[in-house]
This record gives sequence, structure tokens and C-alpha cells, in this order.
Amino acid sequence: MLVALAGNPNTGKSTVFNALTGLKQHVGNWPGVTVEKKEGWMEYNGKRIKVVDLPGTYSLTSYSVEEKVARNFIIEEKPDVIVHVVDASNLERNLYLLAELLDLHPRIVVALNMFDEARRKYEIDVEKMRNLLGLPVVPMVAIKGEGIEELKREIVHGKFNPRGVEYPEDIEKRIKALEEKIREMGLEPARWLAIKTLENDAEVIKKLSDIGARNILHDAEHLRHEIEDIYGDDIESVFASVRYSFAHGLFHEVAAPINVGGANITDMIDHVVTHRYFGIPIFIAIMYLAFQFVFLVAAPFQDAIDFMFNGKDVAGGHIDGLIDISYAWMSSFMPDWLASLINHGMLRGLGAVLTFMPVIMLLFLILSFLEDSGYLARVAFLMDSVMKKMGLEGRGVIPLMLGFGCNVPAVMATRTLKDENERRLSIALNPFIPCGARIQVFAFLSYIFFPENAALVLWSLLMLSILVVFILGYVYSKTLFRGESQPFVLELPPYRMPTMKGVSVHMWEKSEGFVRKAGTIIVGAAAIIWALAALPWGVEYGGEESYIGMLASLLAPVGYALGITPEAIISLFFGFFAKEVVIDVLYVLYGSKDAILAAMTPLQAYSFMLFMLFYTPCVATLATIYNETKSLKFTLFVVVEGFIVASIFAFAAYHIGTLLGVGA
Amino acid sequence: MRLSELKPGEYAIVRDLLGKGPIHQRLLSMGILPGAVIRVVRTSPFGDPVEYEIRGFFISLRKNEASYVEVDKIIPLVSVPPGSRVRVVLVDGGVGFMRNMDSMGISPGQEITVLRGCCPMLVETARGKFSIGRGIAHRIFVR
Amino acid sequence: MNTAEKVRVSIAYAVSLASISLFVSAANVLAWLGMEIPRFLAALAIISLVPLLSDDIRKSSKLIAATAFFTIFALGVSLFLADHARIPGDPMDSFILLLVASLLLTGMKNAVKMLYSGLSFYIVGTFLLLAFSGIKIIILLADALDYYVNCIGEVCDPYGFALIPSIVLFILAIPAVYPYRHRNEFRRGVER
Repeated sequence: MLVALAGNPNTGKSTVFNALTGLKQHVGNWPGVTVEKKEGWMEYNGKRIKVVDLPGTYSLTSYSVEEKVARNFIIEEKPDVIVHVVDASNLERNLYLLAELLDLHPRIVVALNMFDEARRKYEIDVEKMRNLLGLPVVPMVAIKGEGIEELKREIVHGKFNPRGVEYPEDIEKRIKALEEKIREMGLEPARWLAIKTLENDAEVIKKLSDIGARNILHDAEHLRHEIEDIYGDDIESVFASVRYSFAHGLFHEVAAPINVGGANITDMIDHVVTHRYFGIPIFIAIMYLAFQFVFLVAAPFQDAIDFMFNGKDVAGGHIDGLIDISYAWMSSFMPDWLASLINHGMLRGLGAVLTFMPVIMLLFLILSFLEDSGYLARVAFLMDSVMKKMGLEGRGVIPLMLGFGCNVPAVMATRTLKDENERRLSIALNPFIPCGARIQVFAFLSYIFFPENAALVLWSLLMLSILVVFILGYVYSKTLFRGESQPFVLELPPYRMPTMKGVSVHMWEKSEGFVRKAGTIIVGAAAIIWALAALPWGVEYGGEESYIGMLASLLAPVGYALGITPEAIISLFFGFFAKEVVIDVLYVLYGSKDAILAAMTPLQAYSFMLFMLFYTPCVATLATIYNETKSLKFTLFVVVEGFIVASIFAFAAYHIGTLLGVGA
Repeated sequence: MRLSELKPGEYAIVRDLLGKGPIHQRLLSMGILPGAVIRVVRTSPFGDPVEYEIRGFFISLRKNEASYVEVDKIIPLVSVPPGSRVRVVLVDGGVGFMRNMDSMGISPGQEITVLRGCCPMLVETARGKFSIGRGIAHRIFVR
Repeated sequence: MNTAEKVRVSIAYAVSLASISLFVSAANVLAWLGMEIPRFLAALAIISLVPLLSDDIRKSSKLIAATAFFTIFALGVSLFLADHARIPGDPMDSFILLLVASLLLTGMKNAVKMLYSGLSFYIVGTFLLLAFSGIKIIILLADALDYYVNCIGEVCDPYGFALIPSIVLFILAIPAVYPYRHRNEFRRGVER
């Protein structure tokens, strides 16, 4: 048995999904798009039932990816039952989608979620609603687990006798006429296809014309003009108003408003958090606090994981970590190179993956808290006119800000963007935001080379990165990522207290997904880096005779043009693995801080930092980008754009600086 | 006039939707179609987008999108100053509510005079003088 | 005392919280600049007298007394913090506390009139203060944990726990949620 969950965004659909399936779920992408697909299993009386969470949509047109995904799933996979999750406190507008679903599928269970909240606004006569619709209607409060059992029962044993949407006689007649013809051709669901063809739905019309149903399209066009003439309005508006009359009529039949005055908390909070003067400062304050929370609370856990794997140098010796211990053990019975590959390559890679975990978990804890509470929608509202200039909607500011912490969760957070094209644009821009690890390296190098103006140098790099993101965003949105301009209609849902369960499920999902998918790629990359640095076997690790060293001397002319020394090139290779090791590598290769200072001029150091600011993101970020987009081409594009921008800036800085004679 | 020209606190009734394709369809699916009542709630600090209330829920539209919506400005009866004579445009509620109002001479097209401001209001209609509470005065729209 | 009066008392209390926040905010800037925190900075507590500008407070002797009491209270807390607390010297902290104080002070004027427009600033201000100080306390604990993690295998002194202003602010902010619990007694204000 197959069950699909449909519903508007912000209706607690994923809470219902979690309540039905528990943690037995699988998160992936819908084929070909970056829209998240969640599948899970629910159990009822020993039966295992597959549940699929469809993307949240307001309607089922062919204008957005989410809507197409949702309706195509219903048509192609033919779920046995659709659960329509309705925000009962916002009944009228939620019923619009029900009107569309009724045209498409006969077996629908209506789940009236947030019933407690709704009861403060109006009395809902559930029994009357059941009778009017001829469908099971289950009042529920999913976050408290109320009504879940009844919902399961109705999914399995519910009686479906749908009344459907009543179209006015002069439309119904024409739908029927078209439906007959479509059924004769053996196409299903005939009634829905007839309605959509009449409605001028681009995807359905294309499908019909692909199979050569010319006469149907011809008839449909004729019928459509008749309807438009009768109603004196365009066809889309005619159908929409039929559906709204259905929603409006049903709503007024079953709901009796309770006259409540009382305080509207949402309105009050919005009055302040979107205030003309206070709005932006509050946003900055919240983001800053979120940042501090994530990175400072994650630190002890990261240090502990790092210690566990790598051990540490203490006064008078070295405490062995997992890697040392397991290396010593393995090299007793296997060739040294293999033990080194497994431990110094792969196990170290695994350690690197796991040190990301605390940050990712906490970031998504905060992010889902902000999202579930409703504040994220306000951020979109606040920042929209700024972000619009770089081709993103207001929510696009979130991944960019997270990038300053770590690009990995930032790329994962681009899911908050609803538009496919904007999501890709946002991912392409993200690596240009310097993450905490890079900032750490810059702080260190600025301090060595520019002891007087370290803060200024650091700021110049940060400002430059923001400028580059803005310019690239502007240019990309006009060229490479120019999509159909999607209307930006944003719902501002009422504020709600997020539940611990909802937030933690989300947090777990994200971090588990990261380890499982990106993790394997990172461990693989770690093995490759190891091979480059340690082979041919016997050379000094990462030294001049190793493959990395050879590559670096091969690239020396390029480095020379950019003002970057061969040793620095080697450090960049390692930086690809994890940016913060760049300093360690420079230390090892040069021997001391003074040697680093002697080997590079301040100008060379600055152009090195510029190069490092923009060149390829680290392997963890790339693995995440691949994982989010499932496109090797796109991932390569991100690497290439990074190298191009990095080279331009390093080259320009080095040569202009040399010409002006500064920093020699 | 266009929806984008209204100021926060003002009400309007949708007359027509311009434009084609995604914008048109998206506005329709959010409930913005002829006859719907819209309230402008607030603008974002940078002036764009703008928050609107429609059918009891809140959405934000960019100015560009709002300019596709052709509207007529209306005023809730509650904010009409005493002494003015206005024409009823819309009575917002279920069948029972509309019948009730109609029996007091308050239905679309009728002219009424406000004798005393809120609250309760005193209005004179073709059927006589009536006292109207705040809740009801919020659901009657006039021009 | 009726509820309205109790709400007004707690608003006067919140204004004294605002003045303490301002004190910590200013102290943070000074500490960031590497300067000593002068004790006279505690005179910022005078801001706690702001509610007296409102007729609704002045017309009740009980409320005047409460405001005076809270002013002395704020002065005491500020002096205590100046002497005993470790001021972190983080300019972003002072920005957030300045924001909290301005929200509470902005809300004061209409909140004493029992209007939603005042309560809204008040709610956001109190919530922000709770979130700020709560997160700072968690961070302090995480910092201590980090210190001990980095100590593994070495001989270390015990972590130097210090009183940070956020601990005091957090405790003081809890009673300030009182008006929020009586939000339904507030009014929308005069109809236009």
C-alpha cells in the first residue's frame, strides 16, 4: 500500500509525516531536481505501509517544480490514499488545494492539523464536513501526537465516497465532453486531464500534443473560448474562482467563527521584528547569537573528536590517538604503505568528517528552530529587496551568512530556497564566502606579515569577498542562472513554538545524511590526497619528491605569475582537504615563522591570501555540493569559477602592487 | 488603481488580475482573485516587499507583483468619520450575516449615513437608524 | 493591586532592566577599549526613572514608589556588576544589549497605557534579553568543557569560572515576562 502526503507549506505536514513513520524514513531528491523527497514506512495492525511526503504546494499547476513533482507522483505512482494535511486554523485557503486534489484522486483523507489552534478561531463541525465531502476527516494536533492513530485507521479502513467539486453547469458540460474524448483515447485520469486541458495547462497540453491528440486540443481550445466568453474572464481565473467558491462555501458551511478579540501575538511580534528601524538590528543580533551559539558550543565536541583521532602533543611527548594506535597495530601485519593509506589517509579523512558533525548538528538545530518558529519567513521579508539585486529571494541571505561559519552546512541550507534556479545560484556563490577555517588562516598570516595592520588586511579580505559575491550574483543572475522569473509570493505564517521533536528530527536527518553521503566522498578524497603526498613510497610526506611536490614544481611558473611560492602551492593542495591545515603545512615546509616571513614579501603573502580566499572550496564542501545537486558538471563548475576568480585577483594584486612598488 | 499603490492600513477589493503565466497563476492560488478583500499590513524596512492580509492569512508580495493586481480602494465602516454619507461595497461574511445586514438596509449598493463614530456606531440606512458594534463594523466595507 | 497596576509595576521593573543592560553595554565598550570600568558608570541607573514621565505611573503613589525602588535596585545591581563581574569586552554584546534597552524603552511609553503597540516592543525586548543571556550562559559552560577537553593528558588549573553579567541578566529577565502572560488585558488603542 502506498500513501502520499499532500498539503500547503507551513501546515505541519512534516510533523504528520514524522508522527506516521517515526524515524523509519529515507531522505533523497526527486529525480532530476533538487527538491527533497522523503519516504518512510508506517505500521498499522502489522501492515507495513509506504508513506511519501510530497512537496508543500498551494496548488497543482505546472508553473513550479514542486507542483509538477507532486501531481506527477499522484498520476504516475497512483498512491492508494492521499492524506491532505490541512492547517485547520487557516481552513478556507487550505481547501483550495483540496479542490484541486478532488479532481485528481478519489481517495483522500483530510487531516485537520493544528485543530487546537483552529478551535480558538472557530467551531469546526467535523461530522458535517465528512458528510459534505464524503471523505474521512480527522481532526488532529500532530505535534502532540493527537489524532495520529485515528489518521492511520482512516488511511487503512476509511470509506471514500467523494462528492467532488461542483462546476457550474456550463463548465461541467464542457468538461464532460472533453473527458469523453480523452477517455476514448485511453488516457487517465481522464477528468483531470480534461480540466487541465481546458485550463490551458502547459505540461498537459504538451503531453497531449506529443502523443498527437490534435483533435482534442483543437476541441479544448474551442470549448475554452466558449467558457471565457460566457464568464468574460480568462480561463485560469474562471477555474480558480470555481475552486475558491468551493473552498469558501465549504468553509462557511462547517466553520462558525467565534468572536475573539484578544492579543494577536504574531502581529505584535511582526510589528517589531519587521520595524523600519529595529528590524535589521534585531536580525543582525539574532544571527550573531545563533553563530556564537553554534561555533562556541560545537568547539569542545570538535576538539574531543579531533583528540580522539589525532591524539596530541603534550609537554614531554605525544598522546596517541586512534590513528596512531591503529597504525601501529596494522603495520605489524600488513605492508607499511597499506597501513599508512588506511590510517593516515582514510581514517584521518573519517576524523575530518566527524569533526564537522557538531557544527552541522547545531547549525541545523538553530536553523530549524528559526524556520519552525516562523522567523525565517520574516528574514525573507526583511532582506528581499537587498537579495533581489543578486537574483535571490530574501531567504538567500541565510546560506550566505552561514558560509562565514562553514560552507558545508551553508550549502545544505540552500534548501530553504524554493526556486531551483536560485538554489543553484546560491550554491555557486557560497564558496566565495570565506569560512571560519579560511578566516583563521588569514588572521594568522595577516598577523605575521602585517603586524601593524592585521585587522585592516583581514577586513579588506572579508569586504572583498562580500563584494565579489554581490557582483557575481548580479552577473550570474543576468547570464548563467537567468531563469524564468518566478513570482516571489511568500507566506508569513503565524509564530509557533517549535517542538523539540520536530527540531531534533530535522537535525538528525541533516547530519546523518552528511556523514553517509558526503562522508564517503571525503574519505575517498582523503585517500587520494594521501597517495599524492606519500607516493612514490618512501619520500618525505608532502615533500618535493612526492607527487604533490612534483605537481607543485610543475605549477611553479603559474605560481610565479601570481606571486605564489612552490611551498605555498603545496600548502594549497593540502588546503583543498581542509583549509585550516595550510598554516601547519607552511610551517612544516619552511621550518619556522621567520622562515615563512623571509620566503615571501608582504605583497606575495597578500596575493597568496587572495588566491586562497577564492580558489576551490574544500573537499567537504564539494562533496556536499555534489550531494545537493547530483551534478558532476555543476560541481566542476564551482571549482573552475573559483580558480578563475582567485587567479584574477592574485594576479592583479601582485602585478599592480609590484608596479606601484608596495609591499616589496 | 494598483495594489502596489496602497499604503499600510488601507483596504481594497480586487477588480482584475493583469499579466499571464506564473505570476497570474501564483496570485490566483494564493486567493487573490476578483472580489477578494485585501488589507495592506506593513512594508519591509527597505520599502519592498509589502505584507498583505487576504482571507485571514498573511503573504508578502514584491511591488512588481502587486502591480499586476488591479484594485478598488475601500474603507471599513469602522473608520468612517461621523457625518459622512457612504455607499456599501461589500458585506464580508456568511449567508446568515449578509441576510441580517440586508434586513437593516446594509447591502452592496446601498447608501448609508454615519451618525456617530465607533463604538458602537450609529448609522442611518434606508430602513432606519441602527447601532453597530465594532466587530460588525469591521466587516462592512464602503466607498 | 489590580492586574493593570501589577503590569505597570513590572514595566517599571523592565525599564530598570533596560538601564542595567545599558550599563553592561557601556562597560563592554570600555572593556573592549581596554579601559577600567569606572564605578560612576552605574549612574546610568537613573534611566530607571523614565517611567515617571508617564501620567499613568505618576497618578499612583504605589507606582512612583516602585519606580524609585527599582532605580535604587538597578544602581545596586550595576555597582555589584562593576565590582564583581567579568565584563567580556565584546562590542557585539554591547550592540545587542543596547538594542534590548532601546526596545524596552521604546515599548515603555505605550505599554504603561496598556496598548498592544507598547507590549509588542516589550515582548521582543524581553525575549531578546532572555535569548542573549541564556546563550551566553550556555557558551560559558561550553567554554569550560572545551578547556577541560584541551587539558586531557596535561596538568591544568581548574577552569576559572567568573561571574559574567549574563547570569545576572538572565535571572533578572525571568520575572519580566509577567505582562506577556496578561497580554489579553491590553488594548489595540484608539480607533482611527
